[in-house]
Formats: sequence, C-alpha cells, structure tokens
Amino acid sequence: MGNLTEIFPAPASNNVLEVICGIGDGRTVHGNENSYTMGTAAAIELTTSYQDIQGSAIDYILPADTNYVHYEYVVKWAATDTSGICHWRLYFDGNDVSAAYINNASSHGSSNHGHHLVYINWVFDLTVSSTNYSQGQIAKSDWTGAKTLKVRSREYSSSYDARAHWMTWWNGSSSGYPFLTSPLLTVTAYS
Amino acid sequence: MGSLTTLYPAPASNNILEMLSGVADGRTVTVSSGTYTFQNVTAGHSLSTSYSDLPGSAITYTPPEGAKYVLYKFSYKSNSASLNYGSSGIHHTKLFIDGTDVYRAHKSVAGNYSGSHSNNHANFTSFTEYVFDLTATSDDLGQGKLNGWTTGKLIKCQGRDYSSPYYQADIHKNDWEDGTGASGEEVYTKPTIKIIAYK
Repeated sequence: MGNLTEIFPAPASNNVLEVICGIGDGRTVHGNENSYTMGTAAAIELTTSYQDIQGSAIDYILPADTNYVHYEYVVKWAATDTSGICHWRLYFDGNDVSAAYINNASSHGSSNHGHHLVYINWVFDLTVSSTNYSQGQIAKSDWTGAKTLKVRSREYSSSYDARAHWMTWWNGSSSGYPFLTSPLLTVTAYS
Repeated sequence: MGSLTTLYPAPASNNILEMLSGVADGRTVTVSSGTYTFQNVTAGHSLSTSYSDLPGSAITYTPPEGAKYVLYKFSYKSNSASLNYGSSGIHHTKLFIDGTDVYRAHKSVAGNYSGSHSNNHANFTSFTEYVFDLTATSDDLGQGKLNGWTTGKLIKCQGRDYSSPYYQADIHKNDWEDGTGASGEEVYTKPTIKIIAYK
C-alpha cells in the first residue's frame, strides 16, 4: 500500500506551477501538460523594419490557476557600426506590450565593439478584470488556449546598424565570424 | 476536520518555497508569505552625485517559514543622460536590506567612453541580483547573511552618477524609438522585481 500522500496528493508545495526554459536551438521542452518547441536562432542582421527575433516566440497555454506569467528572454546584441541603436518590443497575441519597450545601444564611436546581452522581461498580470495589452494586463478570459508571446526588433537607422545572436570576435580573432550566441527563453507560471 | 493532505502533507516536491515577481506598476500580489504591493514607476529617474532610491526597487519582504535562501533580482533600464551628453553614463548602484548597505552587491555600470562628451548613446538593460543567505549563525547584513528572517525587511536599491556635469545617467529611460526620439509610453521602461525563496 502506498503512502496516504500518494493516494491523496497535496497541492503543489509552492506557487510555481510550471517553468518552461530553453535555448533557441529548436529543442522541444516538455511542460506539465504541453510541449513547446523553441525557435532556431541564427546570427542575423537587423534592419529598419521590425522582425521577429528567433527563439523568443512561444505559443503558451496557461496551467490551471495561473495568476502571473513571467516572460524572460535573454538575447545577444551587437553593434554593426557606430552605436548600433536598437529597439525591442514584446508582443502578446499580436498586441504590443508598449510598457515593456526597451531601447539599447553602445556608446557612439567609430568601432563596432559594442556587444552585450539584452534582457527583455515582463510579468503578465492575469488577476485583472479587463485586458490592457499595452500594460501586459491580461484577463484570464482573454488567455484561453495558446497565445503567442514573442519579441520583435529593429535598428534605429542604417547609420546605426545592429545584429542579434551575433558574436564578431572569439578567442582573439574574428576569422570565420559571425559566431552564434543562442538566446534563452524562460516562461514561469505561478499562482 | 481538515483534509487528509493537511494532516499528512506530502513532502515538498522541490526546494522552491515561493516565487514573487512583478512589474513596478502599483500591482498587489498575494503569495503564501503575504500580500505585496509593487511601487508604481511612471517616469524615468535622473541620478545625481548623491545616492537616491531607484524607483521600483523597494519591497518589504517576509520569506515563508523554512526559507534558507532568498534571491532578489531588480531589473531595470540604464540610460546615459541626454543632459550635458551623459557620454558613458558611469553610475554606481547599491543594494540595501533593512537599511544596511549590502556592500558585496556594489556595482558600477557604464558604456564605453567614445572620446568626447558629445553623445548619450550608451543605454542597456541592467539588473541587481543577490542571494541572501539565511543560514548564518549571526547577522552580517553587509554580506547579505542573516540568522533567520521572520519579519518584514525592506529591500531596495540606490544609485548615483560618477560625477557631474558629464557621465550622468538616467534610470528606466529610453531616448529613442523606431528611428526617432521616444514618445508616449516608450519614454521609459517599467522595472521588475523577482524574488524566489528556497529552502
């Protein structure tokens, strides 16, 4: 005979319902009830038009009793020239979460040395009574089934070009660049 | 009579006791250890050469019973100030718990100096992250070590510029958007706090 706690399992011992975490290499990550396939990232040039950033998209289905979803995306950014001014937007189901908007750049200069990680994160609040997409407040009635969370980016202008998932230098050389830095996506649902 | 699972609780399925995270938009979040209200950040914050609180970083937190470690992460946008061309925007940040400076968490952040004080391009995402150790035999808050933590303690960050009039920085601010100057909601980014209590 098993333990009583196996027959009558307790609710989750903490308020974390699910963590989906993966590198943007096309892997499939299995959650409690659903599986998610990460995008496959390649070192890319950004343009002056917004484009989806690989590895940032997930068609996420809420676990039962979710009150908050913390979306975290870490992406490598690199200046192509001057400061590489770059704009990043987070989208929920095609709607811009403008409160999460981020602009980044290196110092202005004649080199393309500016390389760093960009951290785009937001905590979607599902306890609200009505949805406000720009503030990332989503009524539970508006998050049924899979909803796409993703990041889109563009450069400021062709005078300040930028790149994503990109390394120019590695081990004292730039021979053979670009080198890939894969992005990391983490989605945490909690009650 | 309580449920069987109350009388015979299952072992914890992992060592995370609680996660609390939120955007600094004034929201209230209730978790097992209590109800917490995040600050409401509605603008960028200009630093000076004196330390000031970083808006959105403050929270008075009480860990759940049994917590041995508490991770605190404050994520924010760092921005070289447009005033007097902030150049590299050198600035310093500190973490405080219960009014004590956690000196192990001191951090200096800047872009690269571009050779003249003629631009304010350096801006990027940044964060202060620290793990408080609650298993210490006595309090040493300067190192973030505590002999237990059973009542609310204020955690917050402060920051200052390196100097004036150059090397100044703004926190939470965005100067550019879509190929021009930022406007509307995009002139600043609301910061976030994430706290995880472990046993």
